[in-house]
Amino acid sequence: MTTTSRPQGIHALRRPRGLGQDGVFRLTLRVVAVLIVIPVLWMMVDTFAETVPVWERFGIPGFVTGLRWAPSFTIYGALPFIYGTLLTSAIAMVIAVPVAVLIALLITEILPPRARTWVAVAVDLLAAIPSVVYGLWGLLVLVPVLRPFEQAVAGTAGKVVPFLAGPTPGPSYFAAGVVVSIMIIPIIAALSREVFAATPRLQREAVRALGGTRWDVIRTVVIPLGRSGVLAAIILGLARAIGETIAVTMVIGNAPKIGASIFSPGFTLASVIANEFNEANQELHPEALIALGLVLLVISVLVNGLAILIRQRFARGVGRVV
Amino acid sequence: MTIHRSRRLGAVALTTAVFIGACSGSGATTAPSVAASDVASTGPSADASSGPSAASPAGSPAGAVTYRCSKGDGQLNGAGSTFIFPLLSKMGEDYNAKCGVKLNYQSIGSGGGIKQWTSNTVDFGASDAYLKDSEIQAAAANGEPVEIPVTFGAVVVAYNLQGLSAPIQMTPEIVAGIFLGTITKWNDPAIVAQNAGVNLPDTDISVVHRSDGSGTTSIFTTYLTAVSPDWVTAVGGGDPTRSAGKEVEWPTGLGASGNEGVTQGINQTDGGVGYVELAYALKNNIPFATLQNKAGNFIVPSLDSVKAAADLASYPGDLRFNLANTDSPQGYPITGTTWVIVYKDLSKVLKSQDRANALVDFLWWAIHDGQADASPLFYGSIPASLLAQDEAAVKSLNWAGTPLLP
Repeated sequence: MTTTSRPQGIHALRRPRGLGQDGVFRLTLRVVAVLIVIPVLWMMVDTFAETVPVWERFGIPGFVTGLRWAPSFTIYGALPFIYGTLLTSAIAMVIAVPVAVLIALLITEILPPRARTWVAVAVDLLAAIPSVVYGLWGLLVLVPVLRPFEQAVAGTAGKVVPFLAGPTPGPSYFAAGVVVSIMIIPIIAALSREVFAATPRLQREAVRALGGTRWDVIRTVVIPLGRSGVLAAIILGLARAIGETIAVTMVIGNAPKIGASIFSPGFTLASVIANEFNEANQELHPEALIALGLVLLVISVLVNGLAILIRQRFARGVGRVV
Repeated sequence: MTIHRSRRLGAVALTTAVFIGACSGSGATTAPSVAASDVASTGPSADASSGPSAASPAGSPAGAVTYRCSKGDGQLNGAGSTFIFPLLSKMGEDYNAKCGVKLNYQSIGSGGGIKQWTSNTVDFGASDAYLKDSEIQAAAANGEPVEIPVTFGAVVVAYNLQGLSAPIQMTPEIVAGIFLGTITKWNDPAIVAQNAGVNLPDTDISVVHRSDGSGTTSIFTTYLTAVSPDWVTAVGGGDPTRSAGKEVEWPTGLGASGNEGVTQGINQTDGGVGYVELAYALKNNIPFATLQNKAGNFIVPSLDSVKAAADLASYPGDLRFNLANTDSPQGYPITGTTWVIVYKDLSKVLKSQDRANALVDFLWWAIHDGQADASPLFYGSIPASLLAQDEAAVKSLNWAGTPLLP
């Protein structure tokens, strides 16, 4: 994430001579680049081949927009899981992005150096905790803690907005979104911190010399220069949010239908695969679950592609690539 | 930078995760593959644990059964039911101590076990349901299957209601109504009518069911299908094969993974209700309902009432039977069976006759002295009325027509 200004004159010192070391190096990089793409394409082609019976039976639109998931009736529709994946990811991002960016600013701009180290360690530690631990903690601790808040919202705003209405059984889209947000905050915060810390000292000092406050430094230098790097961090966080499996399945309630409220139980693409694949022995059931995996792959590609486009737009605005 | 630090901390966190995972109770949804006999030296030996109270089948007095202890390759491989895993682990440990044959059992689920047995990658499969006709056909290339019932388990209706003076009594109609979502309050007249003197609160019933495909769900929904035409109509669209199974289309409730997930779901909500394995409920002191059986008696789920449920007047010749809603007057009605599944003619599927001998000897031990391991682990043992047919099933195993047991 950090910028390294390329030392000038390196080309003057070392011109490529024929197929020397540079040529070999370039060739190696190309091979590696191709090797990275192969598994992705292979996975897509292979999963599609595995799931042909599903597409033949339901059609791609029929499967993707199907509302009913009933293995005992050989009826498979993916929409409840797509909805759950997108909704929990959205809830997670709405909570995580502001908090993570504020934590990163706090560490690089506000805290004294010694405290900085400790907070940074704490954030790194959170990023290293396996998701199953977050899931257990979410189920045992967070869900009961969230309950009164959910009931309060459902009892007030929920009376007007069906999207916030009760009942509040505990495990829900909302609970899953909160757990995932806690999982991705450290990722986004740690990467954003590196980006902010890389802000050139000269530019900071220039703002201070003009009489600017710390807030002026953050507003006019740190955030504009770091914007594209922070967006990269958000993309990584979003990727984890979309694919998160174990922690989500423990707190989302695992109901294969679209809940009207964010406090309803639901299901995500990744968690239904984890739940049902082991014992999937109904007709087309394993194939339908693999098809959900393919849908998940496509959604990840689409969402990440969109995020990369947005990031490029921002980067162009500043005229600096981080 | 911080990479080294994060990695080290990651290792600490991972250790913690493994530790927590290990403490979260049995019936894990993951698929542990354990060489059960690795810990044989620390556990009590078979001889030490089979005291006078051992569930040694009445039909064969102790000492009458002798064991050949064929070594084979020194190990046997099985796969399947997660329900039977703790019992087979203990049996494997004891049998290794006795005969020096290691048992490797992968608890990957009954469906997975049948698949592995069909593709002949294990010596035996273990399943909480007997083979479907289609599964027998799929395995036909390897020969005819023999299905041997080795243990029994029950599923209880567990609940979370504060301050009750006695266990709640339920009729089949109440159980079906709760899981259909037609009975929604704990003080519903139907429940009150069966529980005179119990102060049932005006609390919402909050249903928790399994979200992962499970033999526990299969036993429970097989029972509901047997007792409730409404259940068959609402859940199966009138088709009983769709209203019973490892996964059904639940009309109401939250899904949770594993017995421990369901228990957690029940405990978190006042008024919660769900179904868990009897063994799990007993080990964790979870309150559960007393159920009215076919004969009209209210039966407390226990190892005795499970054994009574399995004690039938007669069994079908192929030992494919269903204990849901048992006729037995003292039997608990939500009882299930776990079968060990092997091929009758082992010459087609096993490498050597030695290995076949080792397998047959283990099975012979498992249906006799091995049954002593059942009760301490809260499994129902083989009733005397069934033992002769189990023995005949093991004796029918052969090597190209030659019986493997004398």
